[in-house]
Formats: sequence, structure tokens, C-alpha cells
Amino acid sequence: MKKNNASLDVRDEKLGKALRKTLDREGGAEERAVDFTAVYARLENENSRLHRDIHRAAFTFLPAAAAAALILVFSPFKAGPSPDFKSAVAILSSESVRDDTWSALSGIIESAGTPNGSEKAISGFIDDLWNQDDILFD
Amino acid sequence: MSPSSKSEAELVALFHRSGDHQAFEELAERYLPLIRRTLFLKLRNREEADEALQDVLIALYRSLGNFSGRASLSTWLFRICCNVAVDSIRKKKRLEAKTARLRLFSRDGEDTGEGDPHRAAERNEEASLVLAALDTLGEPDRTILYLRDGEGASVADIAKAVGIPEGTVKSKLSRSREKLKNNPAVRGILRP
Repeated sequence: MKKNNASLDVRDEKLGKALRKTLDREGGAEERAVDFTAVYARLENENSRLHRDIHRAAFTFLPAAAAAALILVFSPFKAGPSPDFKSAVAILSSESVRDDTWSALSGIIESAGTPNGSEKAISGFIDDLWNQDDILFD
Repeated sequence: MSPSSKSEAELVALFHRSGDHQAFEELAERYLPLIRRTLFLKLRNREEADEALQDVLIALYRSLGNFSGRASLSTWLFRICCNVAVDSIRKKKRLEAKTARLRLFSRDGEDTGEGDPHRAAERNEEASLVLAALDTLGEPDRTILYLRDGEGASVADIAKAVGIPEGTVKSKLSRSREKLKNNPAVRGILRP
């Protein structure tokens, strides 16, 4: 048993090479290049969909100002003691936020997440808000 | 794209800073053989493996922003490949269930192209025998053996990727190696 355990710490190169060769040949790995353009196109589509979903969810469940502030507060791009952040906190604090609204918030925060794609979606959402600044600062 | 002399950490940092597509593509290209082999091992179908490859690259692009470098990128990729393959198998099963009634009217059943006589003839006999020998191992034994000996992953990394304790990985690896090496086809290939 001891002998077996010791051998497990060493890779079996010969067996490994046979396995790689087999999988490369059977999988046809050498025959096809990767289409990165298709990968980026799919990412872009999915980001746009997420952007729309966040936008719709925020303005369906929240008062407009609270939705806008929420996105600012939780956006990785606006974090920190910037004037935008302070304005957002002030607006969020002044809203009378009900329990069901907070439960909707948690869903949106979850959607916002941290992965790259979601960050881009949030960023686009903020750009939209700045283009309609009467929503935020009316 | 010609590979640069940048290290993996430099490429990841470049991607973190600016979402640099070239850095992402270079990282992906470095691991493509590993990703392709792992997906084919799990799915056994070139077309499905190609579709799954795109899912892996999308998952990599999305999660690379959170990659801190504490684990190795290959460990992360093993896990992504395993998850994507499982999703792909689930999707295929759902689709099969939906089309089960239609298949009753098909003489040859599912057509994946794998049974194409021309393609079968092109296959290297030796490789087919090794693949058949691999098939005698169940999952996750097959994946464990391949990740350890085929890709040189550590037992700890495999345990994380497959989601089982290190001790279990070791015992499965030991049994799988013994079984595979006792297979006449594999024994013939490994003979000096």
C-alpha cells in the first residue's frame, strides 16, 4: 500500500503521453482554430440582455430615484467618497423604502454581481442614467 | 496570433487593467489543448466539445476579472471544463427526452456523426483502443487519471476540480492506473 501511495506523487509520463495523443487525435484538436469573434459577440449579447434586465427590474420595483441611487451605490465604478456616491447615498437615505422594495434590491444586487460582464452592464446602465439626469436629481 | 513572452501573471494583470482582448486570447490559446482534451474526454463528441469550448471561454472571460492567482489557472480551468461538460450532458439529456418519441421512427437512432464509416475508417486504431480502455473506467475515475497523468495536475488540484477529498482521488487514481495498465491495448502501447 505504501508503494502505491508513493507512486501517486509521481506523474506517469508514458501513460499521460498516450492519453494526450489519443484525445488530441480523436478530438481533432489540431484541425480547428477558435473563433474569438463569436465568443465576444455572444458576450456582448448576454451583457445587453443583462443590462435590460437590471434596468427593467430596478424601475419596475423601485421609485425612480432609489433605483438610480442603488445602481450608483453598488456600482464598482462609482464606489468611494465621490460626489456621485454621496448624492446617491443621500437620495437612497431620503427615500421611504418598504420591505418588499428591499427584497427586490437584493435580487438586483445579486444580478449586478462582480463578474466582468455584469460590471459592463452596470456601467452602461449608469451612462443611461447620466443621460437622463432629471431622474436622479429632480 | 503569435505568442508574446509575457508570463501568465502579466497577461492576467493586463486583462484586469483594461480587459485587453489580446491578453485574453493569448491566455486562452495557451490552455486550448488542455481545454479541448478535457472536454472531449468528458463529452466524446467533437461537435459537442466545440460548443462547450465556447462556453468555457465565455466563463473564463467573465471570471478572469476575479482571478487572484491564489490557485493556478489550470486548476480553475479544470473546474470550469468539468462544470461546462456536466451542463452540456444535462442539456443533451433534456433534448433527448424531448425527442425520444421522434427517435422511435428513426432507423439508426441518434445521429452524431460518430458512426460515419468514412470517419471511423480514418481513426487511428491504436487511439480507438486506448479510448475504449478509458471507457472501462467510470467517472470521475477517468477524469482523475487523465488530469493527473495526462495534464500533470496535482492531487490537491484534482480534488478541488472534481469536488472530492484528496484521499479519494488517490485511491481512485491507484485503481484506475492499475486497471488501465492491465488492459492489453494499453499494455501494448506502453511496452518499451
